[in-house]
Amino acid sequence: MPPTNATVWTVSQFTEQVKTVLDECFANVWVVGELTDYKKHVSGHHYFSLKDANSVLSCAFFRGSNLRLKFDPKTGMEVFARGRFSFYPQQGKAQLYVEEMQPKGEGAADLALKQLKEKLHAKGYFDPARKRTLPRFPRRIALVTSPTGAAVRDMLQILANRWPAAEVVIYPVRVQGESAPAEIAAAVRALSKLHEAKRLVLDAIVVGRGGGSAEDLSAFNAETVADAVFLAAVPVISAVGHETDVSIADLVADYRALTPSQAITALCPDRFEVERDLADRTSRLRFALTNRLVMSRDRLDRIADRAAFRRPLDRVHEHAQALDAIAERIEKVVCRRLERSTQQLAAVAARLESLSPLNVLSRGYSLTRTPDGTVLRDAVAVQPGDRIVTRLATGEITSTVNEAQ
Amino acid sequence: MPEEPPIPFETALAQLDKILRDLEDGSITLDESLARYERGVALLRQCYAQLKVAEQKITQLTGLTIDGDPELKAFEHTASVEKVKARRTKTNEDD
Repeated sequence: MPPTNATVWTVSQFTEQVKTVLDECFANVWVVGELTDYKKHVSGHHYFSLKDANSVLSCAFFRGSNLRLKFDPKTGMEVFARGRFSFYPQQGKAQLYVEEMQPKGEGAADLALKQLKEKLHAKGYFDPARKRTLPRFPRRIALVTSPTGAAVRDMLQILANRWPAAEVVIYPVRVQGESAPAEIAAAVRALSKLHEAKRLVLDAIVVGRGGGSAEDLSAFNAETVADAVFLAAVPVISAVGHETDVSIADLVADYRALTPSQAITALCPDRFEVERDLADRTSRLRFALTNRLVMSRDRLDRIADRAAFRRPLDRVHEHAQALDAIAERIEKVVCRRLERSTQQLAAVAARLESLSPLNVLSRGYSLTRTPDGTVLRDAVAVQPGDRIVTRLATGEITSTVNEAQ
Repeated sequence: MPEEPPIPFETALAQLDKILRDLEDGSITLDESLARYERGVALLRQCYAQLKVAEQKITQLTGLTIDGDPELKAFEHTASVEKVKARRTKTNEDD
């Protein structure tokens, strides 16, 4: 039992007392330390601890306050936190209710920019592979810029000199101030949409402004602008006139121009160069056709020059001559064969002649027959007194047989 | 004079270069050569016509119609300077 003079608190009474004392003493304090165990709850509240070499301090950073953060807090970062230190009776612990947080070391804006760059880089916004090539001969260009600045004047000046053929559409926006990022992003989005709907077909969008201090370029470092440029339906040229600082818009754009003037120079051809190219092609075209005609004429001449075309009857004569030769050969062959046949015929005739009985008779032989015509080959065939007829080479003799032996 | 719809400059140049290659190559017939020459001359004429635009068309987008078409008005640099300056008295938007 506590002594009778001791004050005994209920838990609620005591924690209430602690809370009152803490709230009075630590209504607004700055604490520096390292972030540990940084957790972003789905409710939007952040819970973490701040620590140094020896101690740890619980912190709660509610949604209403952490929405104003300019950077993304992460475990391990050294930060300054401002808030009130109070007691949380339900969990029986004291914690710092953070209302504001700033990174130690670099400024919040710098860190925020660095973090945004890292984030967009990871999302592939700066990938060189997705950068589109600029059109060679743009027909319509949109300029997203202040309609009153030096930038638009410079760009129109160079456009007039280099490439008056292009139609220019100016989309007026504020390029600095609170509303600038939203205006620039909305302009790029609206132009993309018009292009995609084929209501205002564009070849390129130039987003830019004249030179300014690094702060003035903040609009071109906004994530909303980066998103719009990344999603643009046509190639985007960033023309933020600032040679030393590279804006996020520069990194996302398909082409980064150092100045608005340079953007136009990169985007548009020089009309005089193009005219020279056209003149060159004109003469090449003429020369090529002339050449082709000369070539055809030459070929025709060569053909006309051939013997067949020069003396068309030569060929006929050649044929005639060949025919003559053939005819001659045929004649010879036929004659020879005829001659040979004649000779053969004569030989046969001679042989026939030699076999003829008349021929035998002519050599002095004779043929004797009985009156009935039987040729007498044997003397016994006749009797004395028979009549016989003897045929000689010429004429016949009729005789009477005197004696037969 | 009714004109055929102007083809993009780049396309015209590409077609022209193809014609030049074919002609210089000499592998096509004379009839084809003549036809291509004529086409080439027409393309060149179109390119020149596009180059001859003396006055740049400059407009300012002022908004969208109900149909979603862009509303464009002629852009006059000095005039707009006056107007915008009058409208924006507090912030200096000029760069």
